[in-house]
Amino acid sequence: MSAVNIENVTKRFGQMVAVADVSFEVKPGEFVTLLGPSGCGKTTLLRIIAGFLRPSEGTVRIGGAVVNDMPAHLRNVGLVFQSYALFPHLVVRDNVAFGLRMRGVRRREIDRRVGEMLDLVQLGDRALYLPSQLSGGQQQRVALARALVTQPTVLLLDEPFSALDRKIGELLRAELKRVQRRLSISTILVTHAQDEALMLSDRVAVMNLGRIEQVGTPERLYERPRSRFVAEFLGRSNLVRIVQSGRDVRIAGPVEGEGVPMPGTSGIAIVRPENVRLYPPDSELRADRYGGTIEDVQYLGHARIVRVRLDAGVAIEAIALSGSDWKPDAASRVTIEIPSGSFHVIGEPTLSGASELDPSPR
Amino acid sequence: MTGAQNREDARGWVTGSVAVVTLAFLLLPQIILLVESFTADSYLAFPPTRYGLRWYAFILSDDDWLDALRRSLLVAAIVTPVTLLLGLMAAYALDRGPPRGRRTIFTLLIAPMILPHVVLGLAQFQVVFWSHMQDTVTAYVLAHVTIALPYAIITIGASLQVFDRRLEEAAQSLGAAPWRAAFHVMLPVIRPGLVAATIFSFITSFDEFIITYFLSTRRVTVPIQIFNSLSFQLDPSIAAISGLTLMLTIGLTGFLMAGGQIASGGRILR
Ligand SMILES: Nc1ncnc2c1ncn2[C@@H]1O[C@H](COP(=O)(O)OP(=O)(O)OP(=O)(O)O)[C@@H](O)[C@H]1O
Ligand SMILES: [Mg+2]
Repeated sequence: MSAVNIENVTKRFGQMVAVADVSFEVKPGEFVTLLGPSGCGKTTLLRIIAGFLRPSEGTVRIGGAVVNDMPAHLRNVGLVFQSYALFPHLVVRDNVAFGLRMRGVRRREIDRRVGEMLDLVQLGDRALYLPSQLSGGQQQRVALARALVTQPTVLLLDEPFSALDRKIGELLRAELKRVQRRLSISTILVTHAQDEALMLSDRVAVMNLGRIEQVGTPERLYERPRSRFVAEFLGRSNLVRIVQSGRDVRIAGPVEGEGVPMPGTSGIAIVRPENVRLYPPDSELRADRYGGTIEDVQYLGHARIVRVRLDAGVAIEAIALSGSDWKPDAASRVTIEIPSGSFHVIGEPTLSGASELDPSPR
Repeated sequence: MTGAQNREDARGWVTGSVAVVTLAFLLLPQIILLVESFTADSYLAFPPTRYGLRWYAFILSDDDWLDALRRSLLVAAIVTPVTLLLGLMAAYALDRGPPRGRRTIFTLLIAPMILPHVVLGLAQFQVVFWSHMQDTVTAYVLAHVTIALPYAIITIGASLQVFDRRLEEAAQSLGAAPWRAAFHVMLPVIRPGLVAATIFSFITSFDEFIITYFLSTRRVTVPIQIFNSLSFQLDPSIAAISGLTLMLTIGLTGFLMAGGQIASGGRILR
């Protein structure tokens, strides 16, 4: 039995389709992330699961039971918002106790469970503070404790870290993961931050324009993206036309620009920048090496992103880790190497496939 | 640098002086009246030659004044909760209800605030006259609710507008049925608006003169009793009743505002 099961769910607002025929499931104890750009329907889907929106079509199951007609307060889900949404008139302890009080749990039991929960999120000493007296990070931990103390079937989080500054956000991610593992609670996280999704999730569902493009483990999505959208949304990637002969894969040219597939090309592939090796310009030229000119260098501290314009016309991004002797300079010549095994084919340059590969308006 | 500083200072001086003069203009007559109310003389004069509570004792033992005071308090005590409840329901419906017709309904509901009270009074006089309700508390209550309601709708509506509905959703996800979420979360959070509406309603009712004047003949409220006794003699009892009214409203306002602030640290309602 899955914790949450979504089957062919569609949500329309008038003419507008916010969620289009989405299906996925969350297994007990699993951490699933809905990842996608702004406006792709993540929040809408989450609100459908929480019970604040009715799906136009499809079935929502929580803990095996169909909940399409069940009001939000009977669904036993935990909800955490970007804006914390703590009750401003109640101190931390009473915020956390709220769900238990609504369920009529006995006083003694409430005190015990609230105490345990506050200890778990390391706020035991803040029990009598008002939300306005806490930092953003502390407020979000209270919100997490409040959502978890009732032992919900599933925990739903809508961009819980995006209102926090980066450092605190990262600390809280780690804390969420720890608490989630500890209680082994089924979790759905909504975010547009790909690093967050990769870091926390057992599985990620990448959404675009109301649809799920691909569901899979972070590794699988990063290494074997099914579409250009997924490839470009997760990390950096180079998109190129390739020619394949036997096991050898070579760059044939850029993807955009030419409307007609070039003769002899056999597909479109991505190459991750970390798989592109940089060599000095005078290196030996082999089949998997290409000469080019450095167009641009972005310094990131631990590494540099180097954009190389190949003599064949394609722009390729590579990563040069800091600490090596060689420093790439803009406008200087360079040789790059891309082993055949580093190409991941994501589409055929056929006319029917062309629409699927159209750059989506983002 | 110093030029700009000087200009700042000068502007501050002008603003400050205007504020002081305006305040003095608004408050001085009331302060003078308040001082006069503590006179022990038998005539109204400023400053009094002797001080005492003579006239307060007088109005609290005089049958006419006591009668008016009791009636005014009774009416205000009914008007306030009724207005609060109706105002809350109306503001909530305007906030959450379908957007169609919202503007029209809002305009109709707050119309009594804009219409001349003389017109309102005359209209209500006819209704009350035909239904033989002159001089009844019911008639006064109905009249006062009509004119207090717009203020209640506006103040409660303003706090509903800034109320974050995700708080209610959070409450529901924690197992609170919609009405419990509203009771345990929305009401406490919009409390400042409710407090303001309470104060406005009470004062509007206690203070109302024009419409009540149309609806009464013998059973009067405090403002009408003041008016009546003015037209026939000017003695310090009027200053005393004004002082009492002033202290009552200031006291109520202070009490409710302090209550509103202290309550934010309170526990959940059981
Ligand atoms: N109540 C509504 N009425 C009409 N359209 C809506 C409503 N709620 C959402 N939408 C539309 O549905 C689409 C998806 O919205 P949603 O809030 O789910 O996006 P999201 O993926 O959460 O985006 P973000 O990352 O910006 O929060 C948007 O185009 C939005 O305008
Ligand atoms: Mg959203």
